[in-house]
Amino acid sequence: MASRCAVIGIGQTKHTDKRLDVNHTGMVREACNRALEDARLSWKEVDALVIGKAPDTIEGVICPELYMAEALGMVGKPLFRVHTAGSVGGTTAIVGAELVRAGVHDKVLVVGWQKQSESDITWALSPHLPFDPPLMAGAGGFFAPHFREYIRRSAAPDHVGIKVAVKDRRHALRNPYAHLHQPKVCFEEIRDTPMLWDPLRYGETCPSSDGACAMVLSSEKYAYHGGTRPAWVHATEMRSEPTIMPGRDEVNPRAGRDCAAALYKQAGITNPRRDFDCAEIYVAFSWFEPMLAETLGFAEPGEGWKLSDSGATSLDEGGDIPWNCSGGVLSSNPIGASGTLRMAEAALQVRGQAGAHQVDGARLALAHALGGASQFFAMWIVGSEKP
Amino acid sequence: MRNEVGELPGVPLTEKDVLHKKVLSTEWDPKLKWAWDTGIGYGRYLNELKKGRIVGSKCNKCKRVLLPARAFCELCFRQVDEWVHLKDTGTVNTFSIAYTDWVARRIKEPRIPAMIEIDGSGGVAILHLLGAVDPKQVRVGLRVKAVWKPESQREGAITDILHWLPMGEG
Ligand SMILES: [Zn+2]
Repeated sequence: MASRCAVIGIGQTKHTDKRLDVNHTGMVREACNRALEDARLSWKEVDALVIGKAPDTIEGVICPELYMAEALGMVGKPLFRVHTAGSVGGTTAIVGAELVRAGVHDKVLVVGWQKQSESDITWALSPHLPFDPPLMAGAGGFFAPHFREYIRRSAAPDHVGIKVAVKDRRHALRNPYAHLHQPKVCFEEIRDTPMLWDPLRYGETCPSSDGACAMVLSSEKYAYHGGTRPAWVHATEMRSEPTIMPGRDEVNPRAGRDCAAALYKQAGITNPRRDFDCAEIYVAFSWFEPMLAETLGFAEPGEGWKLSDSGATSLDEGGDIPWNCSGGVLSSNPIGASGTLRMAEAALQVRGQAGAHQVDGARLALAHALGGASQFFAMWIVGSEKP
Repeated sequence: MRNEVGELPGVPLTEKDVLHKKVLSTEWDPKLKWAWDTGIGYGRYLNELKKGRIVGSKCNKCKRVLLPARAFCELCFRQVDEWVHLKDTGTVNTFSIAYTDWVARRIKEPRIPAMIEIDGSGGVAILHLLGAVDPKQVRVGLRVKAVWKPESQREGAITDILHWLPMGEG
């Protein structure tokens, strides 16, 4: 029996540069315990678990699910592991939602995590395959040429990237779970950080974080089991495309546009800027905000930077479509959890649980995760009302 | 119903406990070794690089040139029809100026990774490095030519091209 799907429990850890006090399992259990508490469920009552993290080579812990399964209460139950690079946390939530919507399970726990402190990420993401030149130190170096191309096409002024970084770091000050808390963060502070990969400054890049985020997804039957009203899943969608292909537009990838169009069609969205109250979008580097604003239809092609520049995406400036009220990936990046966090933060908003970063009266929110070389897109829409 | 929030069993460790080896810790240096099967398309591409040539493949249905060469067209989802030799010249379509090295250390002389649209490919750009170019002189549209390693040093990798130089200056 197909069912509607609701988010009835949400839990995350305080994201930080090093969680030496817990191992992978301990950190994951911390997030799961909080989500279960929120849903007023015990481990025993969970039907299935879906987990997601970025490549095992990052921490060198190979197939962690092998030893985590029992500690996560999965003896005698199904466990699924999902893998779509940086978007994995979003995809993990979608797989969980689909298990519920398909009527397979009533109560699914989904969790994404990463312990970047145990990792050597540049090494892990650089397998030295013979067709890849060893040029870029980290993902920023890979994306910087795309940002430059975006700036050239749209004639965006240099300060927009800095402005986005300041905005998200200021949002993070409202979120006790965010990794970076820079109390006096300002335009000059970000502007004066070293240029790493022109046009990208150090202050415009995401941190390396340890953290986890879990959600309990339920069928309609258990939707009101938790202490707070549920967030209803209105639509989910995913798309992928190759890293390199003739005619591929890395600045505005077709997979992203198609993913958004299909998602909006499911939920009857015709004007994302007007129809959504807020959005949690995978902005790991500042320039992704204006670029993705165009890909996701919040602005016309070439106009995304004007949206960011106008303050429309800022809580502090009273913008009409706040993006990443939680501080976003620019303030916390436990990779495997980053996508889950986008989905969970959107759900927190429509449940009215977002605390100091709550958007007043938020009813409909968009979440988006991005993986690989802008190759994997995972998105969902959650609302306070039943779809 | 108790999920022991905030009171996980066990003793939390501090960073010092780990760094000063007050707790049992093991260091492990794995010797990682793997072979990677190139397949038909990439295999030909890498072999041709060893000979100082850039090869793509062509799908006659959508008329696109795939670069690096591949055995099948991902959009038409059919086998490609022919190999296509491309020139080792191209046009910079975007670039970055990198002030960090491979392990994210600061470097004085910036390096310039660029997306280079290979002539004859119908607009496919590969990421590579510009050599001996003043960062101020780099621009979109710059015409460049590959500088190859001496034949004896080539190994069938994209690094068989050392870097790209502006045409007429190399
Ligand atoms: Zn074709």
